[in-house]
Amino acid sequence: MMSQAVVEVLLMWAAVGLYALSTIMFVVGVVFSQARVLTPASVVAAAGLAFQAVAIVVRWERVGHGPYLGFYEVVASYTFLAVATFCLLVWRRRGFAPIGIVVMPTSFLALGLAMFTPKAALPISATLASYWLAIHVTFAKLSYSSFIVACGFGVLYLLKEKAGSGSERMGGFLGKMPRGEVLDDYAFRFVGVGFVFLGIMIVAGAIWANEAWGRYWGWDPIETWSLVSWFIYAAVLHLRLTMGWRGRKFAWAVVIALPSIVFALLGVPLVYRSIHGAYLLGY
Amino acid sequence: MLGAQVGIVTVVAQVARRLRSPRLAIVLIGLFVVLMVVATLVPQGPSSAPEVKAFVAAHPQLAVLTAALGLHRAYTHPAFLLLLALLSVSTALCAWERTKWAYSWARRVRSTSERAADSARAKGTLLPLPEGTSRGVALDVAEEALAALAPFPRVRRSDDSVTRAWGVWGVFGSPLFHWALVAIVLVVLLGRAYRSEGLVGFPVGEPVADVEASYGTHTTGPLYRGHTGLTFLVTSIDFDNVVDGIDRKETPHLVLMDGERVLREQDVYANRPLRYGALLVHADDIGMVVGARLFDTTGATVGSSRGFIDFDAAMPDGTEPKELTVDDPAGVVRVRLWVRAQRDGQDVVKVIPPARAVLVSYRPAGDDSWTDPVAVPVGGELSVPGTDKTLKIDTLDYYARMRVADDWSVTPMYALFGIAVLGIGIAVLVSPRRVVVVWDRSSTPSLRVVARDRRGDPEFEERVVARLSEHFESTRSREGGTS
Repeated sequence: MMSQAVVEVLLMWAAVGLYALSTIMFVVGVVFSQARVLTPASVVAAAGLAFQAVAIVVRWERVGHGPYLGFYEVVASYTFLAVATFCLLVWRRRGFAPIGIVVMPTSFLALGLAMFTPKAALPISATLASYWLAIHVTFAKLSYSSFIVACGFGVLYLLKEKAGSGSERMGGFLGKMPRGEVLDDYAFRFVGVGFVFLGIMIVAGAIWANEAWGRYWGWDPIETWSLVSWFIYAAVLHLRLTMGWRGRKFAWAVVIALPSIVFALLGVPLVYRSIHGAYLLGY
Repeated sequence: MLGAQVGIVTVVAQVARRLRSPRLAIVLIGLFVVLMVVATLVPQGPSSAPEVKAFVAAHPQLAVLTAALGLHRAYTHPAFLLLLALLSVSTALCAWERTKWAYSWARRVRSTSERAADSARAKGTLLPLPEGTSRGVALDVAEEALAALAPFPRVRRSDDSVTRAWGVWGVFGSPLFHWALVAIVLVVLLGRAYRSEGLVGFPVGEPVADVEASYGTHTTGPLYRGHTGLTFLVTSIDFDNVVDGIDRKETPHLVLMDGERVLREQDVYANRPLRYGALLVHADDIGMVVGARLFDTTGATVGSSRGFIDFDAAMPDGTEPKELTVDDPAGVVRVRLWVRAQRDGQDVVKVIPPARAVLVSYRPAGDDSWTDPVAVPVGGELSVPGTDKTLKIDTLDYYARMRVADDWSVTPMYALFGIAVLGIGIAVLVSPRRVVVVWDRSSTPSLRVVARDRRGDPEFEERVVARLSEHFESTRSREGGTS
C-alpha cells in the first residue's frame, strides 16, 4: 500500500500535468483564436484543481497543519486559490474563461517549480502555534489571489483594447468576452477586495507579533514590504476613485502593482534576512 | 486687525485645499513607499548596532552617505515624521470632505426628488409595455419588481415614478476608514510617547520589582509616567512544557504581585504573555545567574557580585563570559565567569551542566591579559593570584529573561484596526445603488429606467431592466393563465 506521502506527490503531479494541459489549451485557444477550446480548457483546470485539493488534504492530514510552512506548501496553496478563484469566475460567467491565459500558465509554472523543492514537513513551533496564524495566512492567500486575478482582468482588458484597435487575430476569443468596461469593473472589484484582505492580513500579523514577541510592529523587511504593497494598492484605488482612472490607465496600474506583492511574498525572504524566511525557506 | 485675520483664514483655507488634494495624497503615498523601500536596504539601528557596524565596514563610502542622510534611523527621521504628519493631515481633511459629501449624498438619494424623475424621463432606458397597460398597473408591477431586488425593501412611490435605493450607508465606509486611519496614527504616536519597554532578568525564586534599576535594556517614551512598582516572581522554569503536542520551550512560571497580593499567575511562553492592565510580559529566553563573593584571610566578605550568563551557541563554550567587578578595599578585582554548556550538535542545551562548575578567569590590576580559566564548582573557592583574597562561587541557578512592555495604546489600536477594516470593507463590498422607474408620457405605454451603481458596475442597469422585463412577462402570463 502506498504511503500518504507518495499519494500526495502523485496527486500533486497529476494536478501539475492537468494544469500544463490546460495551459496548452488556453494558449491554443487564445493564439489561434479557437474560442471552442476555452471551455474544455477550463474543465481540465477544474480537474487539476480537484487533484490538488485532495493532495492538500492528504498532506494536511499527514503533517498535522495547514499549507503554510515551507516554499512547497506556500506556493501550492497560492496556486490552488488562484485556480479555484478562476474556476469560480468561469463557473459564474463563461465569458471570463480567457483569463485562464494568465492564471493557468502562472499556476502551472509555480506549482511545477514547487514540486522540485524540499517537501519535508516543517513542525509547528511555539511561535507559530496561534490561531492568529490561521487568520494571517488565510487573508494573505485571499488577498494575493485577488490581486493575481485582478491583474488577469487588467491584462485581458489591455488585450481586448488592443484587439479593438485593429488586431484581427485576437478578435476571435476576445469578442466572446464581456465588454471592456465589465473587465475593468471586475479588475477594480478584485483590487478592492484584495486591499481589504491585505489590510486584515497586516493587522492580524501585527496582533500576532505582539502576542508572540511583545511588539506589534518592528519594521522587519517583510512587515515593511507588506505595508509597501498595501500603500501601492491604496494608491491604485485612489487613482481610480479620486482621479478617475478607468480603462487602460487602471489596467496598467493593476498590472504594475502586482510585482510588489510577489516580491513581498517570494522576494523578501530571498533578498533579506527576515522572520518569514524561516517559514518559507527554512533558514 | 480684521484684515490680518481674513488673511490668515485665507492662507489656512488655501493650505487645507492643497492638503486635501487627491494628487497630493498619491504623491505622499508614493514618497512613503520610496522611503520605506530605501529603509529596507539599509540596516536600521544606532551606530553601535552590530548590523550597522557590519554595513559600515562592508560599504565605507556608501556608509558616509547613509549616515549623513540618517537612513539608519529612517523611521524616526524628521523627514519620515514630517511625511507621516502631512499624510495624516491630508487623510483627515479627505475624511472630513468625504463625510460631508456622504451625508449630503445619502440624504439626497433617500428622498424622491422630481429632478431624479425628470432625469430618468430624459435619459432612462426605454422599457416598452404591452398595449393597454395603465400607469397604475405598470408602476405596481415595477414596485413589486424593485422590492424583490434586495432585502429590506424601501420603495418610494409617487404619482408617476417608483424609486428604490439601497446600500446607501455604504458611502460612509470610506470616511469611517479614513477617520480610523487618522486615529490609528494618533494612537500609535501617543502610545510611543507613553510606552516603556525593556528586558528584565528574573532569577528563579527571587522577587523583582518593576522599577528602573531592574531593567537591563530599557526604552521609554518622553511622556512615560513611571514604573508600576509591582513585584514579579518567577517561581520555576518548566523545561518540558508541551501543550497541544507542541514544545513550548523553556517556560517560566510568573507571578505578579502587589505587595503580598497575587494579581496574576501563569506560565509564560510564545503567544501566551502575561497581561495586567497595560503591562504585557513576554518570555524572551533563559540563562544562568551566578553569585560570587570575595573574602579575606579572616573569612570576612570584602565584596560580592552577581551576574547573568547567557547561553550562546556562537561562543566556544556555549555561554557568553560575564565580566564582574568585585569591590575590594585594596582595589577592584575583575573576574570573568562563564560555564561550559552541553552541546547538541551545533546547538547549546540550555541547562546547567551536572558538574555545576563555573569557569573563572582573573585580570589582575595593571595587567591586560586574563589568567587561564579554572573550573570552580558551586561552593568552591579559588585564591586570587597576587592578593590575599579568595573568590567563592556561592550560587549558580537559572534566570528568565523577559520583555516587559507598559503600553496602554495597544487595546485602543486593535479596536481602531477593527473599525478601519470595517470601514474599508463597507466601502468596497457595499455599493450604494439607486433605481428610478418613471411612467413615460408618450403615446404608447412604456417606462423609463435609470439604475445607478456608485461603484460603477456597468451591467447594473441592464440587469435591472432585464429583471423588470421578466417581471412584466411573468405577471402577464400569470394573469393570462388566470383568465
